[in-house]
Amino acid sequence: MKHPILSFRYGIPIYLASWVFFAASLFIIGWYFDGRPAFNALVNATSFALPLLVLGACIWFVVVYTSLENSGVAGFLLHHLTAGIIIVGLWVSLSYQIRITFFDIYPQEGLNWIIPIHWQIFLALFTYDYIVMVYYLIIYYQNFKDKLTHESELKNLVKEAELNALKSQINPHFLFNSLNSVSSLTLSDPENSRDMVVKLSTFLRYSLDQDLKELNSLKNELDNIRLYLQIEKVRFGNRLQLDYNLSGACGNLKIPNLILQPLFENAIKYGVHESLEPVTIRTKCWEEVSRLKISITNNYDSDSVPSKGKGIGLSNIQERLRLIYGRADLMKIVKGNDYFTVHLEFPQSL
Amino acid sequence: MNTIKTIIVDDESLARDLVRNFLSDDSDIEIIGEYSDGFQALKAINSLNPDLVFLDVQMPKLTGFEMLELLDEACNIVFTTAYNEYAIKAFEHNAIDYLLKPFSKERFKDAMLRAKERIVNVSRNREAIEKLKKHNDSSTELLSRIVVKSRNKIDVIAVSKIRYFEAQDDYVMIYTNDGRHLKQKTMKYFESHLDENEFCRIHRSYLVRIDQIAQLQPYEKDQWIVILKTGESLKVSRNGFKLLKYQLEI
Repeated sequence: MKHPILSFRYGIPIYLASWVFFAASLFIIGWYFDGRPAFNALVNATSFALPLLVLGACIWFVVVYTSLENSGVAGFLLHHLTAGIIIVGLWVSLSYQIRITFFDIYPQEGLNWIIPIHWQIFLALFTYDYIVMVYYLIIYYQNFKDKLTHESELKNLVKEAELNALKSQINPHFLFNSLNSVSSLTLSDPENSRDMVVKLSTFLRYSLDQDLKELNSLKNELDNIRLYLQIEKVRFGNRLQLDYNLSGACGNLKIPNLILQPLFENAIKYGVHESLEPVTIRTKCWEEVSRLKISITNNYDSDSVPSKGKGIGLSNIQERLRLIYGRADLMKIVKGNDYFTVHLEFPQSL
Repeated sequence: MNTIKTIIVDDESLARDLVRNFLSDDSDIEIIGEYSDGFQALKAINSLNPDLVFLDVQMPKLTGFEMLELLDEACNIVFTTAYNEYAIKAFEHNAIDYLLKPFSKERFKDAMLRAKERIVNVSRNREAIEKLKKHNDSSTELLSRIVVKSRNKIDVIAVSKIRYFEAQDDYVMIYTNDGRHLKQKTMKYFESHLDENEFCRIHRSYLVRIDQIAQLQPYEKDQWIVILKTGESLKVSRNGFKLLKYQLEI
């Protein structure tokens, strides 16, 4: 953290003004209230205030490196007591030295001249405490402001993430192409078009309702995936083949909401879209030592020259798995010459 | 007026059904073919010479735009797609219309009116050819693949597989790991449509993939050559040397 005298806009003038105020108060007390000759009061005020000009700024470094959080109550008090004694000692002896060196005054009272020594020490300690408090105030104010900006940044990030998630949940081209198929079916096969509209609505409702942070049962998720693939099958006909292999009772096991959706979308996009031959999407789910394992495989046309994907879908899944399970090794991708497989693992005891 | 010979190109059969259905009550239209991918459509358009083509953009193997690039002669195109981001590109290709799926019958009839107007007005056709030929030089979109037509086949080359380009009169020879391909384009076109961090114009005649460069050697006084990983050596001009030095940060 930068020294507030330098970092604030009017730091230096404010600091100097406070110092002048302090010195002037001393002078007025000596001259007006104590009835000393004006010159003597001035000498006393100047010599006592001068060390503060430097020490006051230095106290910042005692403050900035000592916080209640880091050193505990006892350490904190001890720290400031030590620093206070050193600074007060320095201050009182310095002002005495300034008086006898620069103003050449050797009164009989010695150290006790005008202000008795115990009052000098008390005044110095009080001033030290006051400055320390002001500095802490500045630090807390600064932290508070930082926290506010940090929080708003965080909020923006979360919003952005949610928006992206929403966008990826509903792929607009999927939606428009499906609606076009519906439009076509209304002419050729009205019965089927009604069916398709219902499927599309059910799929959209499910996708929109889910909170991405929550878990859902594999059965619900797969039902939704089936719905999605059925819609795509209406569009692509025989070019899309589906194969499911679910063993035993995995249906009740938990996976994050909609985490599989982008994988099937990829299989459609890079498999079916790019190929003239039929593409089969094979989904396999099984349980292994309290883990749900899922693998999704699609073949693809090895001759096709893929238009570059951005890889956002896969990295999003990786990131979500990392956030939910705290592990980065739950997804594995195998790319063969004419097939593409994604292996996923979902730990069941969170 | 003669009938308008029409071809429908879309990879989804339901989408083709819809266009066919919308066209069915128009007696001027004669549908002479329906195709589900760019290759078939290309062959058909070149041989049947239709008056009007309904064309989808996203198709397996060859996109609608790539197919247009390979046509011998420009033809009248109505795009039908769910992607709105290609509209500008489509009209730069002098498309008659751009139908966003799903579209209404009214909108479709609108497009048909325009199409008939265009087909009657033949002089516009010539303009279309000109625009089509010029188009790619004016757009600034970076290429990720290049389509090349040779006598009996069409190759789709991924830009990532290209080692270097060599100027050959009005053509450019493209060297890839699988062989070489001749394309009627200028070096300047490729230079401006490829990522400058990936390719460097080291010489008037050479545009080379930077990560293919194995060595840079002095050749004669003030002359340099690059040696590629495959062992081929290419001349570097003085300007090319400057550019290469800048790219490699040496």
